[in-house]
Amino acid sequence: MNHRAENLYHQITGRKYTIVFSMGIAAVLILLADIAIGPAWLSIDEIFLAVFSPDSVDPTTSTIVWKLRLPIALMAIVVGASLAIAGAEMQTILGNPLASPYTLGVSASAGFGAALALVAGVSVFPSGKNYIVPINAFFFAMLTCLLMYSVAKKAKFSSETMVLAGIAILFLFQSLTALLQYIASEQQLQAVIFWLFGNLFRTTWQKLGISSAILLLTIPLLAKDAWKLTTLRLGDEKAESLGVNVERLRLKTFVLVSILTGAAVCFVGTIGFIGLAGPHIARMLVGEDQRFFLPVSALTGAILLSSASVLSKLIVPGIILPIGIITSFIGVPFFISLMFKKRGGYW
Amino acid sequence: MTKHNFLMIIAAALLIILSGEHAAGNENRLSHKKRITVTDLAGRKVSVQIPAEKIILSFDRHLPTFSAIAGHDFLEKIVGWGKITPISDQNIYREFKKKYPEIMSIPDIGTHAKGTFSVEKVMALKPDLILYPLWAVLDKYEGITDDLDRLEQAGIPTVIIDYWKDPFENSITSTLLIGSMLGKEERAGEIAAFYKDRVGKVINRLANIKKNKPKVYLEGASKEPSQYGWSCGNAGWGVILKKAGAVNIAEGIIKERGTIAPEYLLKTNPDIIIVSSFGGFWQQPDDEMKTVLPEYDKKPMLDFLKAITERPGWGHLDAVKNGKIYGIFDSSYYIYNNIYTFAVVQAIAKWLYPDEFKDLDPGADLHLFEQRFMPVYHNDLQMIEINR
Repeated sequence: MNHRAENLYHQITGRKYTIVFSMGIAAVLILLADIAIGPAWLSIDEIFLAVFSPDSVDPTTSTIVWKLRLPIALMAIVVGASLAIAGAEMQTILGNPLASPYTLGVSASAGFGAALALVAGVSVFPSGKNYIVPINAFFFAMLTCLLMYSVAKKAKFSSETMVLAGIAILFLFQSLTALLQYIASEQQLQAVIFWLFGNLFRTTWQKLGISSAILLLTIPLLAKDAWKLTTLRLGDEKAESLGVNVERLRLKTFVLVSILTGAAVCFVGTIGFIGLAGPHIARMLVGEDQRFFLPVSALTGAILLSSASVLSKLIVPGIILPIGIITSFIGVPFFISLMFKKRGGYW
Repeated sequence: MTKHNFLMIIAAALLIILSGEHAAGNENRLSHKKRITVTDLAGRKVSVQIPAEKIILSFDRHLPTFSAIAGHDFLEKIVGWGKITPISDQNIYREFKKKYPEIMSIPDIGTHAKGTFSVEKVMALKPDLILYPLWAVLDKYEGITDDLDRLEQAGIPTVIIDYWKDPFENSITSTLLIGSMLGKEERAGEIAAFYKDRVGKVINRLANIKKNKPKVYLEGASKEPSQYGWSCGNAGWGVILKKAGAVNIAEGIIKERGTIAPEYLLKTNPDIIIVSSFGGFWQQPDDEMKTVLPEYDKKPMLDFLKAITERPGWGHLDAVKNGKIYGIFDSSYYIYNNIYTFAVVQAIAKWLYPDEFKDLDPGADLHLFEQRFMPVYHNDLQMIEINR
C-alpha cells in the first residue's frame, strides 16, 4: 500500500518535472527565436558570429545583436518571469485569484509616477539621467503595494475588499494620470502614452542587470518558503497548525513581490496581462504545489512575453509596435481555452 | 427611441426654428450672402453660406495659415477654437499675443485630441463654418465621426482641410477653398501661387539632377533623445522628403506615422538624418527632465542633435560620420502642417544637394512671405546643421 502511494507520488511529480523541463526548453527556443528575428534580417550565422566573436562581424551587425536584440530579448524573459511570479505570490498570500500587479493598481500607479516625471518634470528622488522616469515609477509602485498591504491587513485579507480596494486604486491613479495628460503638451502626451503602452525598447544592459539581479535574488528567497506558501492555500488556521507564522510569511513575501513588480514595470511600462494569466496557466498545469507552481509561473510569464516580442516584430516589420498591446492578443485566447478545458474549478 | 435621441431631436428642432427666424430677420441685411456647395479635402460635399464670417478653427495651430488667408481682420472671424498649443505657451502665440492680446479670450471648444471637444459649445457659438483637419479625421479620435454628424444635423457645416496628408496639392486646394469661403479668393490665389512657385523652384531643378537620390531618415523628436521618435511614410514629412528629392527610408515600412525599429535604421544606414521638433523638445539635464522650446539660442538644439548621435550604433552610420545631421526646430506646428511648408522643402533640398541649390535661400523666401501675407513675424524657426 505504502509502496503504491510512493509510486503514485513519483508518477505525479515526475509528470510535473516533465512539464517544468519542457517549458524550460520552450522558453529557451522562444528566446533564440526572439534573438534571431528582427527587421534587419540577419542570417543565423551572422548572429552566431556576432554573439560569440563580436569583432569578426561588421560593427552595425554587432550593435544590432549586442545593443538591441540581446538586451531586449533577455528583458522579455526577465520581465515576463518577474510579473508572473509577482502575480503568483500575490494570489497565494492574499488567497485571491484576481490578484495581480495590474488588478491591484500597482501598474497604474507606476504609470502615474512615470507620467509625473514626463509631464511635470517632477522626480521624487534626485536621480541620474535616464533613471528619472523608472525611479518615479518604482517609487509609486512601492507606495501602492504598501497601501494595498495595509488595506489587506485591515480587511483580514477578505477577497472582495482586496479586489475592490485594488480597483479603486487603479481608478485613482488612472484618473491622476489622465489629469496629467490633460495638462500635458502634445510632446509630453505622446511620451506618456508611449510609456503606458509598455514596451521593451528602453532596455539597456544596465536596466536589464537591475531587473535580473532583483529577480535572481527573489527566486531563492521565495523558493525557500515554497512549502510554507503551499500550506497557505489550505487556509490560515491549517497553515498555523502546521507551524507556519502566517503573518510573517505574508509580510515577507509581499515585500519581495512588491520589489519584484516595481523593478519589472518601472523599466518597461504597463504590461498588464501576464501577472494575472501567467500564474493561472501555471496552476492549471501543475496545481498549487509551490515547488512546481513557482517555476512554471515564471516560465509561463517568460514564454508569453517573449512570444509577444517575436510577434510584435513580425506583424509590421520595421516599426516599433508596443509589446503591451500584443501581450493580451497572445495570452487571452490561450488562457480562455485552458479555462474551458479545466471544467472543474481549479482555484 | 432612447431619451437621449429624443432630446437631441427636440434640440435640433428648436435650433432649426430659431435659426430660421434668425435668417428671416436678417434677410435684408445679409442679402449679399449666398449658399454654395463645396467639396472639402475628405471629398465630402458641404453646403456653406458665404462669405463665412464666424469661423471656428478646430485646432488653434491653423492660426498662422488662417490669418494669412483671412488678412488683417482675421481675428474678428475666429469665434472659437480648439486650444491645444498655448498650453505650453508656444513662442508663436507669444508673437500673436503681443500684437493681438485678444486671442487669449477666444473661446475654447476643446479638442478631440484630448477627448474634450464640446459639440454644445460649438453650437452655442453659432459659427458659419468649422474647419477640421484631415489628419484628425484619419486618426479616428474617439467620438469624432459622431460629433461631425451631430454638427451636420445641427446645420453647422464642417469643412475638412488638409496641410498634412499631401502638403502640396492639398495645401494649395485647402488654401483656395478657405479663400473662397471667406470671400478672399484673390488673396488666397496669391498665396497659393507663391507657394507653388517656391516649391516649383525645387521640383523643376530636381528633374534635371541625375544623381543618386540620398537616403534620408527624418525623425519627429517626440521623446527624450535616447528614444526613437516618429517618422512619416506616405504623408506629412514623407511627402515633403519626396518632393525635396530624397529617398525616405520610412516609406513602405510606415504607412502614415509610426516609429521605425532601431535595427532597421542601422541596417539601412541613411546618408542624411534630419530631426524635426515642434512645440518643444526633450532635454534631460542630470536630475530633471523637461521640454524646452526652441529659442534663438542654438545651443540646446545642437545639444539635442548631439545627444541623438549617442544612440547605440549611431557612431557607425554614414550620416553621423560625415556630420550630415540637420535639425528643424520650431516652437509650434507653424512650419509643418501649415502654409509655410515651402520653406522646409527648400531647406531640405539644399541639405540634400548643396551644390545644385546653392542659390536657394529658404529663410529669405519665408521672410518675404511673412512680409506679404502675415500679421506677425515668425522668428523662431530654426534650421540648423550639426557641424556649424
